[in-house]
Amino acid sequence: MLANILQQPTTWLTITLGAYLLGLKLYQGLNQASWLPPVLSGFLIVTSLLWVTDTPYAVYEQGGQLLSFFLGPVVVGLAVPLFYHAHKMKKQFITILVAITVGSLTTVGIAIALTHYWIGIDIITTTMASKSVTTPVAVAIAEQTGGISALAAAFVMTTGIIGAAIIPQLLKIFRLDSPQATGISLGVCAHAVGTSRAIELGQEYAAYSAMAMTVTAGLHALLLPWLL
Amino acid sequence: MVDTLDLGSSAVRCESSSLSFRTKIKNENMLAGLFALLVFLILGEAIQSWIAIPVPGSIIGMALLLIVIISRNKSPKNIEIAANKLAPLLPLFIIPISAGLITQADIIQQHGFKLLAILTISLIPGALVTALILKMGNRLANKSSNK
Repeated sequence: MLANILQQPTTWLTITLGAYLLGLKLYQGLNQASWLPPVLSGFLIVTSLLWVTDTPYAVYEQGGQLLSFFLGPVVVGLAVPLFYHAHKMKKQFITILVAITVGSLTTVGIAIALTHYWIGIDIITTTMASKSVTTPVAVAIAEQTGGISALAAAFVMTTGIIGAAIIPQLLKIFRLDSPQATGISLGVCAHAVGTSRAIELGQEYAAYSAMAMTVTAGLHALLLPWLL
Repeated sequence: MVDTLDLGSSAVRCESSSLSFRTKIKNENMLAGLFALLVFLILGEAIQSWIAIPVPGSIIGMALLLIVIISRNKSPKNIEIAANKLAPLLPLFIIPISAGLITQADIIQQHGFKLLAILTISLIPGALVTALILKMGNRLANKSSNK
């Protein structure tokens, strides 16, 4: 009977929802620690359950895709914050845009080059290109360019967690830290998780970070598919 | 959580705080907004397959919506409500795709450490370059405004 239940899309949809809620509880319990975002704990719970029950991903996906469906409208909805951010940064528009463009292409360029020389598997290199944008956009880019969307999501999550941990400290060492510089660097390099770190640092940091990650996402989605 | 604010919805939420009352009408607005987002998504995908550009359909949809918002110089309330309601749930929407990593165990086993190293190393110049350009840009701006 259990085996039968584990084949149902509803079961896995419910498990995913439960895993997310549990992850959210954990995140709040840990004082919103940026190293354990709900998406990571939720992911760990779901994958360990899949592994323990020996359920093929294809079965899980039938339930899971009901949630993935919403990524489309979420990406379209990014136009709203993008509009507000563009409004606010009018004065320094050029400087900020240049910094975001050059900075984000630097980190992606180096990552692509390293992957190409160290690993040399084209599909991983292609997927690596979308590592610096927020997950829904990264997944869309990976699908578009023939990368692996699950791997793209993993790269994004890992980058975010490492970036959130090291960037504020790194910029302090080089005396480059300021609400603007640290906020924007966090947004460019560590997108979502970085922005949650920026919120801990202060409101000004958070505003710059949220703006930088939205701009990076839009920019890369428009640029990368042509370059790859 | 994390992915919520990265969408900048927090900033937006402040500006639309007058919308926070809970009524039946709000749910209808939310659905109307979701409907509009889906229409833009479909339009984006239609354009994408029509002129065969490699940009994801959802991004084209976003660009279309952005054009509409800019031309009205104001984002439609329904859409704003739907976007702000969906954004905080992003981590939930991402879990199923992330779980697909289970099918990529080979890659992780073989190249996991290298990939981790690449992701870490590539962050450093990215952050430094971004911060440096901002510093130089601000210095230039200050100079020109002092003259």
